[in-house]
Amino acid sequence: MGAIVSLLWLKNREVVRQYLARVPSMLYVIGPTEPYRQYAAFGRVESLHALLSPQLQTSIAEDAAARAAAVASDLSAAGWTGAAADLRSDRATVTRTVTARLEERLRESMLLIAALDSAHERDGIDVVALNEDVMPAGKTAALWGRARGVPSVTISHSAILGRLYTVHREFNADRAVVFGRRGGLPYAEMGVDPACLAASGNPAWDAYAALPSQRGTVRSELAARYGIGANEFLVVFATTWSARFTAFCDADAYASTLRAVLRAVRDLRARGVPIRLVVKDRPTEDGGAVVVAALCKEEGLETGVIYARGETERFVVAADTVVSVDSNISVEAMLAGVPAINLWTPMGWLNGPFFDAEDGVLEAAPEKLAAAIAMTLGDANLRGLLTATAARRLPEFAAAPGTAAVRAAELLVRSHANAAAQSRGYVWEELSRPRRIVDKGAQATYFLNPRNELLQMLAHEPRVVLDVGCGGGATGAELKRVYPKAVVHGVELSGEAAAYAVARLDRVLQENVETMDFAGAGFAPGSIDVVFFPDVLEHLYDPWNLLRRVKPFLAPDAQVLASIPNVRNLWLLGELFKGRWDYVEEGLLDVTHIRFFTRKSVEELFVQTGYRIARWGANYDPRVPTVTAPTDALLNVEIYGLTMKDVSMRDLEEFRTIQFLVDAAPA
Amino acid sequence: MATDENVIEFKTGAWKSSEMVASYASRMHENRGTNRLKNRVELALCRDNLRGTRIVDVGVGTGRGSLSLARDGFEVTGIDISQAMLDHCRREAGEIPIELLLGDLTALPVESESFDSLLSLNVVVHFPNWREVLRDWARVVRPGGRLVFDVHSFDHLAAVARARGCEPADLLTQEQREDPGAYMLRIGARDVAEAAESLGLCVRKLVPYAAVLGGGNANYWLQDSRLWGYLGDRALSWMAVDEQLFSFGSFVEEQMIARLSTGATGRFMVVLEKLNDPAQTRGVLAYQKAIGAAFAGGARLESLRAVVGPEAAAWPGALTGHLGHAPNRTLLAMMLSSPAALHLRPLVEDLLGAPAAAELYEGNRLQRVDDRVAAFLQTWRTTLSHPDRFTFRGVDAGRALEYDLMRDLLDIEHFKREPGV
Repeated sequence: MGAIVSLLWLKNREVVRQYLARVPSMLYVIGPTEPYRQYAAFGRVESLHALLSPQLQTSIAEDAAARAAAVASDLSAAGWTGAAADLRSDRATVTRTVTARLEERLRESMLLIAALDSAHERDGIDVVALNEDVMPAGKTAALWGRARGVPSVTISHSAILGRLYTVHREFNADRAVVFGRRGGLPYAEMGVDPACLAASGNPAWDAYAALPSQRGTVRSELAARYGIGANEFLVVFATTWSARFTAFCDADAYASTLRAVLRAVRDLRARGVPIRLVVKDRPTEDGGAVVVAALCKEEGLETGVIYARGETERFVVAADTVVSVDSNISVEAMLAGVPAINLWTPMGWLNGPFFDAEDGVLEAAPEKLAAAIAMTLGDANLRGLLTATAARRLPEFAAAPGTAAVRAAELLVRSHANAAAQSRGYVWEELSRPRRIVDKGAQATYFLNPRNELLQMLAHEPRVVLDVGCGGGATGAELKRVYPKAVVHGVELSGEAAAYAVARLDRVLQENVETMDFAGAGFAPGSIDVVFFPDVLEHLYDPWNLLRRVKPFLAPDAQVLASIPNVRNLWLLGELFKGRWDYVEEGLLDVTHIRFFTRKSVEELFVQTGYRIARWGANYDPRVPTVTAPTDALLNVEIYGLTMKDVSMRDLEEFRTIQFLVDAAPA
Repeated sequence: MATDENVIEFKTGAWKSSEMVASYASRMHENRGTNRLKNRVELALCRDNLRGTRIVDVGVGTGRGSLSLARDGFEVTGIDISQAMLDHCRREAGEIPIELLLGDLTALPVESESFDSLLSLNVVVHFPNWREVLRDWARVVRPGGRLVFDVHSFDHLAAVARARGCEPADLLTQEQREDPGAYMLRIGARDVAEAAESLGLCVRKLVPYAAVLGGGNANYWLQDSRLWGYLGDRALSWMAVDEQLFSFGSFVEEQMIARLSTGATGRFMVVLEKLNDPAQTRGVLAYQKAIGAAFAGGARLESLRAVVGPEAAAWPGALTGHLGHAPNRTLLAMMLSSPAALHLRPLVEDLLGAPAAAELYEGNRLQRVDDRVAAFLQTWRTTLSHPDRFTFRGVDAGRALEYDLMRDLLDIEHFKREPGV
């Protein structure tokens, strides 16, 4: 099982859930894991930064401080040169600005790099999902991915309708999910390969697929809560802000555009149009309520204004008209089937107009805003024309409403698969060209880790042990550590693994066990008292014959300890139900599996070849949920699109099993 | 590389499919987006310069050029190589009387000297064999009759290339240079004059247009301006619904650009007359040259007025009036944000006064602020004794600083506030 790192904002977490449902993985997130708690059904969830030991954090912090101090000292000693000297501000101010938060910012980046490294070493990161590949964390993660060969996917958080200016005009991730074709244009213009762009809608807007049909309910709920009269029009204005990442930015935009709206509403009310105004502020606009209240007072609009920071979708759906300033919310209005007015500003055009004349969004300069609002409220023909036009143009802005999270998740899966195809070849290539252990990175665990669950099944002190498929010899080495007198013979087809094992076991036979001559290899009849088959029998053409051939060499008290994958696994049944039987590099559908077993056929495998099964054990599949119920309960189960009736706890136990553990003795 | 033969074959054949016709019609016929201004400018140029009432429209297409003439009583014969186009035109015509004939533009299926004037829009631009085309066109017009058609301006490309210090072909995309489908004939005033003279025609007028038409009508002076490309087209599309913007666009095209030279814009309308009058042709070329000289010397209103005549005296008042509408001001500011427009600043000051010009050129100042800070972010780390102080485990953590630093530095450089607060 690999891992996914998500730096996605919470509004996009459904993308992560959809990814995990497709590729059960370890999930690393930034910040608290609490919002992802229910995703643990697919794999562990951990905070990325929790991987860093306090010592490492301290040493990185010290490193960052030393670097920042060195930079500050360089700057004060040497001053600015080259293009850096062209700023108009005096040098001391520039130096102070550059160094002010340098240590903290550097530390954050370095900690993230270290945490990503730790996660990668531990689980192997398949893909990094992020929301902004130009902001500090997203950019760090994308650059880290480039350096480590880990694919990253950025999911736009805006429709990207205007110009990408200054620091936004870069592409650091490997792929981008944009909302619609329009959102891809600036990237295409920058020369980004169109194959790296997917117009898949905005996962955070999937709710709009269902909301418009609930308009009446939503409207009455809001009306009840805010005391909105039945005759009142609901006009929603989404505030803008001054991001200050380009000089083409009106520092006063927040207040000046809000004033324009307040004046328009005041004028319309004076003309007898009953309007309830919702000022939808940005969630991060702390103190906005006070500012808005003050502006309302100044503009003589002290009543009938609702201030809101959340519930955007509900306000948009309930609205009669949505007004905004070059904002995504116009696209949300398009999704909701509500007329949208874009408040025209010179900066809006200079930064690239969001809408053309045929997008179904009305544009109005401040002095014409009242007239535009009045038209959208009072002119049914215009309303119809605007919403119909907008509906036609919508796919340009936001493709696939309702399925954006699924599409984004599928792109993440493809990115992962593509990276695998590029760096490791296709899964089926494993058959003709087994990979080196070191190339497997984190996936090499089953070569290098002891199978403790099999060791725990030992019933006597082992004397002569045959470990078939011994890999790097970890299990035998562990056995020898506990039972130093035991002699362990390993059999391993992979020369590379065998080379690892040689140093750890008494003898390693680099041979195919199916054709191995036990007597020729020096085993005396009745001499072997422990045989391990750790996930080996299913890889053999004729496991039955092997069990029969090895039996004469077994001691009377011999234990055959085997681990065998279970195809009656519920997750796998779900996959099969969905039409998937996808061979992978390892796991239930390891591409090198030849035979497939259920509990029943495992039993037959041993009994028919002359063994009896003394004990059963199991490893459980973390993807399949656990159920607590009395042992005699019969349950109805609904999962993976399957509905099953009267399922016994014994069946559920088998459904949950990923590998059977078998302790068999010669009969 | 596109050869003449495969260009001619492609351009002749392309219009024969009904699918192509439908797509063309939706692009050209409707007054959507900037087509509204294009239709107005081109149709007015035709009406003003055609002579007589018997008109032949070569490459009549969907009837964009001639249906309104036919409606107004002109006797129009439309000729096209594509039956699908003629069918479409017939449907569009409805009750309007118009004769439609299938035929090739180099062998028109009509009698010699049977028309007062020939009109052809967006046709010659597709054909490298344009001289051969003109020979047959000259045949069908009576003595003293007119030929009115548009071409892409090579003079424009050459002038812009000269100003930028590159070759004209460098301005085109690779597709434009190599794909026969994207081929466009580009010729200059002198080419037109020579061809006209050789056919016994004179050049009556060469009228540049398409300064602010957007779409496929590239005005290369605007390259790297905020009116270039699809974002500029988005702004220009509002002419379809904003009357004051439309009126401003019409003023720019018809009152100002039309008086300038073929270097001004990417297209010009050619008005030829079937009359042997070399002096007339020389006069047109002399006017072109004089306009070019006025701009070469750092254009001022006074020097332009000396060439253009008294019409130029009305420009300041009319322009100021149009600029009362805020989107018009922004549109002009977007045009003037082109690096090529910097040297027009004295002219803009003559036209509008220094304060208004300063406001229009404010974008250039803002752009320099952005550029300055961006250049700083690119280079500031080279100031350090060890530029790799930011590399941590092989990853350049310094690049992740750029986002916040951009805002912090703009705060001190431009917004005059505490950085990042």
